[in-house]
Amino acid sequence: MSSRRNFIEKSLWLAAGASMHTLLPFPVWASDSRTVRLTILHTNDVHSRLEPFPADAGKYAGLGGAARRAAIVQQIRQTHENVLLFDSGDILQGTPYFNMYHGKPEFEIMNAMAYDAATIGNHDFDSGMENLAHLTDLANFPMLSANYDFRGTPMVQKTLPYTIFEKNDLKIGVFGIGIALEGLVPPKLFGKTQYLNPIEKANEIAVHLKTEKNCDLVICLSHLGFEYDTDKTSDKLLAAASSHIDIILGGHTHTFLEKAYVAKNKEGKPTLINQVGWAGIWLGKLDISFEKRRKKLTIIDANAPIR
Amino acid sequence: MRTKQCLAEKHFKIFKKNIENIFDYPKNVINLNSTSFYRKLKAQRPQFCSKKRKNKTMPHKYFLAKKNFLFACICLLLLSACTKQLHLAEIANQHIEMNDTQAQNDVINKLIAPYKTGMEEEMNQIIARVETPLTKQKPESTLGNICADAMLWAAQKNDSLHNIDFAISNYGGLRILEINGNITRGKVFELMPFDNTLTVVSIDSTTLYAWLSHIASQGGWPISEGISMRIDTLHWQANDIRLHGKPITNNRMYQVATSDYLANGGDNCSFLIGKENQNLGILLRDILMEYFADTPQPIVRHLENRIIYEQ
Repeated sequence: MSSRRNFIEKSLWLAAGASMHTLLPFPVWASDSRTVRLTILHTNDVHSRLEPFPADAGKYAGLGGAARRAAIVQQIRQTHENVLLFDSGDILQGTPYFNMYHGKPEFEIMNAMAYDAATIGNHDFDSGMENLAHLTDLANFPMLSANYDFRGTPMVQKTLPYTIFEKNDLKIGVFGIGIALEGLVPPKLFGKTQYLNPIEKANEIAVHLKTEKNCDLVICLSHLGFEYDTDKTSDKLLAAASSHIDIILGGHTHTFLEKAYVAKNKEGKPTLINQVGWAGIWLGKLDISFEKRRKKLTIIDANAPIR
Repeated sequence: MRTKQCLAEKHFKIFKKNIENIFDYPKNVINLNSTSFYRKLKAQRPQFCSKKRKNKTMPHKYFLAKKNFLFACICLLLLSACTKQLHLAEIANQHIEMNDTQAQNDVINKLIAPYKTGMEEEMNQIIARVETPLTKQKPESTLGNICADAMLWAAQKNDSLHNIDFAISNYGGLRILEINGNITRGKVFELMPFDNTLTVVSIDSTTLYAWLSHIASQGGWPISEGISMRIDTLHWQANDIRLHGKPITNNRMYQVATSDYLANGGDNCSFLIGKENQNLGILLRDILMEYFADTPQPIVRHLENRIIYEQ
């Protein structure tokens, strides 16, 4: 009994030391607020739309524009504490800027806005993989892709499957998922790229981020598309087949979601799917709060545009 | 006694977890029971178990003797066990529209400026003019019709080997919804940004049916003059297909002008893979520029019932 007690004391000592070690940079007992806030800003399918649509563009005339987006992002970064900015692919293709400059201004703008991460859309292959590799080198942020195997292509080792952002007490795991290229992208453009099952890879990474890396939030940047009439893999199907993804920031289908879609995951828990149309007409904004006590997730539709 | 044991077990579990996390301890060691685990730990990592602490002014034993300190340790441990993970509590979502009420960031405008100057010199050339807007719609549209007609025109002009029957473009291949007023080079780049080239496919009637059925299932794609069909919107099937007013016959091959993208199976046209085709190597964008410029000005287009919906 005495040796056992001795051991318990020792283990307590060690455990206390160990937890201090884990928590030392931001000790919880020093934090006075019980709520930690995070703001996620996101775009998808910007399609080389550097400037607002011209006056003759029908219903989108005058909308969009990178300079406006940058101004709003800057304002939000000044007024909110933890801000991350993501893009869900199809950065390229759609205006003569791309045909003339092959994506350089698009990536320079994203660097200037300090995007934190992006994933690869099918149109990001349009100028060839050599050029995409060059643009990825130009980017000051990681290009995330968990289900394209780029071995044997110029994109090998240019992407990361996931990345983890540490913001104050928060750990945010972010990964990228791309759409099947066959039948969508000319074979000569994607070359030897192998397409891996998006749901399997997403689950594999989400579990790793949640349980092994202890992320407080797991975000999937997806270019799968919001939903289809067929059984083609979509964000909705991905949400329903996963257990550890909290938020899917989607793209590809150019869906303007008036409010974020709340899907039920494999365990019946909510997974938020959002997509903000295309061309940078909308900037998506998710204001997220975390609490130390576990409670039911509240989802608020705050779609009044800020002025 | 039972509670004490439970408490001990709980602490041991937390302890194990911390050891796993911090020291990346081998799993086989973790699986041992508490006493033997401690022995093993002592053997392999004596620094964690040694009674002689490095800090000589405050010996380890002294600390352990102090009940207050032990109490503090437990508090810390419990506190950290409870508060280590933060829990998602609330998500408020909104979208912010980028419109003219908003300020612009000068850094971005300055970054774009030199690219814009270079691009505008090239792209602002006016090549044609329309008075009523050309729009893109399903099942049939003025913009879709003129683009498909341009492909047919170019194929007939450049392919002397074949008698081209008609042309098909995919709906998603045209990238703007409306053209109005002056058509600049830049506008055509926006309409057809892809470097797709004109390709003539030779197909039998079965493949042609498969293609037109695919188009019907998609709600209609741009098709050129010469061909027409009805789409049954209950089953999204192609009905009453007519080529120059006559039904399709089974005993001949059809020559269809399209893009290399579709000819290679793009936009789910897998039925075209492996079919005989000839890539004429001319950019669709260049064809559109030439066709728009060659059409009597201003360009006027009306719907021609090439594809209509029926219940």
